[in-house]
Amino acid sequence: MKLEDICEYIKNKDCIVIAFTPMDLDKARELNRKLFDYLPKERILMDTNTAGIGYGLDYGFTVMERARLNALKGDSELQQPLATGVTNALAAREAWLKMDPFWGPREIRTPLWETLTGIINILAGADYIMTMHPLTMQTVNEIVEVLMSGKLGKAEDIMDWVSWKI
Amino acid sequence: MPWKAVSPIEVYKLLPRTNCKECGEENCMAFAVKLVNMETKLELCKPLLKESKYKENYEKLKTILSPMVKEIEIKSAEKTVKIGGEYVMHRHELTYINPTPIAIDVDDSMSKEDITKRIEFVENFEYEYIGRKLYLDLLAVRSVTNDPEKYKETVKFVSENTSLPLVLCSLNPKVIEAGLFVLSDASPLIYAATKDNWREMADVVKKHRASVVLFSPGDLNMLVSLVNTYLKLGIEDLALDLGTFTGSKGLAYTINAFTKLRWKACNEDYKFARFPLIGTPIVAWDEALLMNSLLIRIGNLGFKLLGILPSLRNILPLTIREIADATDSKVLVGQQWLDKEIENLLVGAMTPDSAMKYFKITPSKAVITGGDRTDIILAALKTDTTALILTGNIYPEEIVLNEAEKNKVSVLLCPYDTYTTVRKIESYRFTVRYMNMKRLSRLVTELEKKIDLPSVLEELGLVS
Repeated sequence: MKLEDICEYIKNKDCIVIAFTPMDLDKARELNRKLFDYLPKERILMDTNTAGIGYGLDYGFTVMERARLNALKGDSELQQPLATGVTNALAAREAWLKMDPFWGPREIRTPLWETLTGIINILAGADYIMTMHPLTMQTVNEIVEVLMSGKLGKAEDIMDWVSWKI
Repeated sequence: MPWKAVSPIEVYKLLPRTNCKECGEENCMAFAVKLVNMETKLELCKPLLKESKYKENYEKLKTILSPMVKEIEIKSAEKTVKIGGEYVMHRHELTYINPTPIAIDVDDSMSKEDITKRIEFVENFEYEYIGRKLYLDLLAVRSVTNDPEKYKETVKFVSENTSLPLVLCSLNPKVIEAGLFVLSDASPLIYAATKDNWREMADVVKKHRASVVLFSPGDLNMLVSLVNTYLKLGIEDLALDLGTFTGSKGLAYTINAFTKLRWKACNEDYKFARFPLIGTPIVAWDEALLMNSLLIRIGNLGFKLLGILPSLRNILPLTIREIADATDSKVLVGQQWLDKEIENLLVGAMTPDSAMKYFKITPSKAVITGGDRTDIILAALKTDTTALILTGNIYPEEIVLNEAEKNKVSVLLCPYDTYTTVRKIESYRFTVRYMNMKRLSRLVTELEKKIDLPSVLEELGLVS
């Protein structure tokens, strides 16, 4: 599929495009640059690729973080909202493999794996999150709400945790 | 000022340049190179420490080589855990030095049996991930009773039964001192000095030369004031805890505060922030419980759960017999185990070393490989394998058959090449033919178990 052909087609449609590149900021810049020729900036999201916990999460995280920091410092080729497919987390076998009961039921491991990957990506600056499990969606939404409300904690709530009887 | 890479020449110029070899290197230049690569410690250069004429150079070197976040060592008699020691805020600027350790708690109100059980859990916890073993790092002993004698006894018992370094947790300096009393050959981390106990805690910490956490939940000014005070008292092994607030009770604050502190340390050289940060997710205990119960009862979270469609892979595991049928294989070993189920399929085409990583984490599997790959086959037999499928009609060596017989692993000899074999199995796996009643009825019972069919029909409006 040639970029020129598809761009010609989508530029006349009412849609948003996700510019997907494989964990490489130079490629992300290049693709954005090319897309700018066809589409207004308001119609481009960028996805620098996501990796799940235990499957290269830190690489995905650091690329996303660099993209956002560079954008904030004025790199106009990276100033697009970040999209992330956190379902990639399921590439890790531990997210679905039948394992010793010690590691918990896999029905919980799957959304947990996806949710944690999602939260970590939010911390790297993700703006748009794609998930598969309904529980992930629910939890990530709640956490975003909590993070945006930004309340100050009450010190007396946790002051004496050291001596709590748990 | 953010951290800047130092050149070996810059370091070399400040060293004694006598090539005395006391540090173990051939010459001062080699030592300088190792220093900038963080492969050795400045303190190994004895002349630099001893001779007064180098004092100024030593101080300069310390400044340019030391990390932005101080490195603190928590030690038991056998093990050392390092925290902090970081040079940069973001990993991509350089790298992170010390992985974050995880501590699990025990407390002095627990019975000895419970403590032993918990310690065993922590010590034996191990997860192998792609050739690397993950462990838990520390034990935290909390004082719930606030009784120094009881605490002393508990710390003694714990330290005798574990090799892990300890974190001593109490806000009562007398309790902490009692705990330190029985830990003469270790240097634990003390948790914590606060705005109420800093004076007494400083005395204890200083007396025992321990490292200490300064705890000031939600109050940044107080934290800085505590750091300042402790530095003035000559106590430099500090770690900081701004309080871990959870959920809507202040998670956002916690993340912001931790980020700001680390930013100040790495990018603004703010000396009151240049210490490791401690988070205590244990305070989320009741919320974790709540969350757990919510997780288990998915239905309560605003979704009507009609059923979970399991993938065919899981509800219809293949038996060895079915694989043998699908691939026109001859059974060389294990006629009697043909009804065993296969959960995973792996193709062994790598070297045994690389394949082992996958073999180890994949239970009840069938391994597909050539009959002449004795190395791979023997590697597979060492792990949880149910069947071997040898492709290309290559008859295996006698040793393979003997080993397989011993491990109760079926061996199939298949006439096709590996690719064709896999394809045949996969296409068989996802078809349920009506003449195969066993497979069919199994599919129906599994689906009935997992799906609330009457509710689905009702939601669809198909029943009145």
